[in-house]
Amino acid sequence: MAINAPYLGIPAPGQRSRRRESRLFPALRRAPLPSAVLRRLRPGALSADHRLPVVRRAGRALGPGRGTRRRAFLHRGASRDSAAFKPYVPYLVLLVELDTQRGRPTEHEALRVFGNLTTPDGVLAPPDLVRSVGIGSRVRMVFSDVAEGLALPQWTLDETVPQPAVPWRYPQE
Amino acid sequence: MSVQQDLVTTTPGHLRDKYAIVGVGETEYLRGSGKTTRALGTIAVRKAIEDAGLTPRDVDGMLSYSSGDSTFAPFIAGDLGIRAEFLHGRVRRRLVDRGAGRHGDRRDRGRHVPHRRDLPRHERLFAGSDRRHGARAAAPMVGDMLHGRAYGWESAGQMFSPTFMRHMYDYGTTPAQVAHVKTIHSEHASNNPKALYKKRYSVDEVLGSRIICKPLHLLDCCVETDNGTAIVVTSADRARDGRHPRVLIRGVVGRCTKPRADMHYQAGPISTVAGHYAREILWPNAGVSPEDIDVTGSYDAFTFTTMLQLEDYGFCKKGEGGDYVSNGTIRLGGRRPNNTSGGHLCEGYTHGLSMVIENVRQLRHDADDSCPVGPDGRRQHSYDYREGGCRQVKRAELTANMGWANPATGSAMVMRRD
Repeated sequence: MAINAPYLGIPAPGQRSRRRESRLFPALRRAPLPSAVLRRLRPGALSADHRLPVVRRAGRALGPGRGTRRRAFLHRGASRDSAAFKPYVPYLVLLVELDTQRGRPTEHEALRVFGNLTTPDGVLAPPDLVRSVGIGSRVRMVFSDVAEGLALPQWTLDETVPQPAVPWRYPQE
Repeated sequence: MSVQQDLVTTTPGHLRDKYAIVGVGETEYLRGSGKTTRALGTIAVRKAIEDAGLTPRDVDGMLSYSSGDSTFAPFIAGDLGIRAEFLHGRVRRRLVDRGAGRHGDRRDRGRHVPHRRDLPRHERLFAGSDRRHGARAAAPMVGDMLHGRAYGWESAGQMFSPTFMRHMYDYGTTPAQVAHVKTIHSEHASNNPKALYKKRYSVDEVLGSRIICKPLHLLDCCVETDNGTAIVVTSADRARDGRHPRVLIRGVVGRCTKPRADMHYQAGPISTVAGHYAREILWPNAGVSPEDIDVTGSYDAFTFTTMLQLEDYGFCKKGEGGDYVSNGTIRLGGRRPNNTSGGHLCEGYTHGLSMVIENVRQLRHDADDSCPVGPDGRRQHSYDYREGGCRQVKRAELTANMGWANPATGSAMVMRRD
């Protein structure tokens, strides 16, 4: 069944009944998160068969020791045409290397997952939070609810593990 | 032609010096030109044919780079009265598509047709750029857009930024080093009467311009323009009859990729670009090394793309790109000037082909700067590179062009003066 929901005002159509997703998202609700499930977490699988009671569930699912490690990050800034993001500038796009995947199969080949930096409840992070995060920061996955049956994986600072004293940031603030 | 001979067409020796660029043409570089891409493409192609001393009837075929709202080869051919024996453009590709099925098949077919045929007399290629980047706010988010657009990660600068950032993290590359690319290209553009932006910029001005998306300042980004560009290619033998000194194609590499061409961040190193792989094809095919090259043309949609390509094609050691682009090497008068026209950052954006045109002129020793034209019809170059002056490189014999699709995909070509 088709879903047509706006995310930040951008129409985001999806399908409820695709087989891969119907396996993936119920699995995401269980803890701890098996790496086999994360491996299947890819862009095509963002729409879900079930509504995700995201925030707390996902946090527990990843849990201490199952956290994620951020390896490279993007930037702040608005896409020229995405007026949708304008209220959230500066926002951060993260490329996150997963602890469970790091070094597999090689140092330079591993599953990495994009997402925005958000607050623990999946809202795009405010400026002071954005400025506290850089390469080396540890994050955990949460979800931004889009609609019934549709959620986006996002990243928030992992408050359960030590953070680097000074994560790498672009030198010119 | 036997099967065995057909197979060896991909070996390094086959292509080297077999074909030559004999004509180049371009429109003005403007913003808001008020012209259609069809008009721009037709003007550029006509100029390239004239530059080669040919007429449209001499042309056998056309290849076009169809992107955004470019006009496709069949339209330009019709407008100029060309009956082509082959055309490569989106219209044809779609027709082939229905029969062929897989994407790989149809791309290969399109690309290799010219070389499998028995020496087509003249083929040409044009690119018109009048496109509008980025997605529309109202357009629905479908397919792979969920991976990027939902995160506000969709424009070219945003998509490439992880590579740029990671290079700074891995190697300590500084914003000021990279800003030199704009500074130096703007110096070159100030000696290029047709450049859209002729003003010279300092490193401080680049770093002082507003951030678009980190690490890109406004002046780290190219300028989109309306323009058309075209080149005429023919066999080395026929090129002897041309109006200009022959510019021979030594070697090419086309759309070489990193292990993942779609999401290269999954197969790093993130700070490495496709040139790392492409150079293993380019230099053996051309039979020369980076050290032999006199002039480079490196796609400068952003200051960083130039640096990353020069580094990964081997003009300096990995990680030393920041020093290479800021130590004077790439400046006119330096050891190996880059983008002597001002490139996409200053002259205008045209998918990389304008840098090929520039290097053809450099190899003809006929850069179209402000130097006076002598009684023999040739420009009397002063080699005085001060503002408004000369931009011809002394004794240019070998050039390298490095094209970019994204960090994971690139193309390149080495040319030499006959």
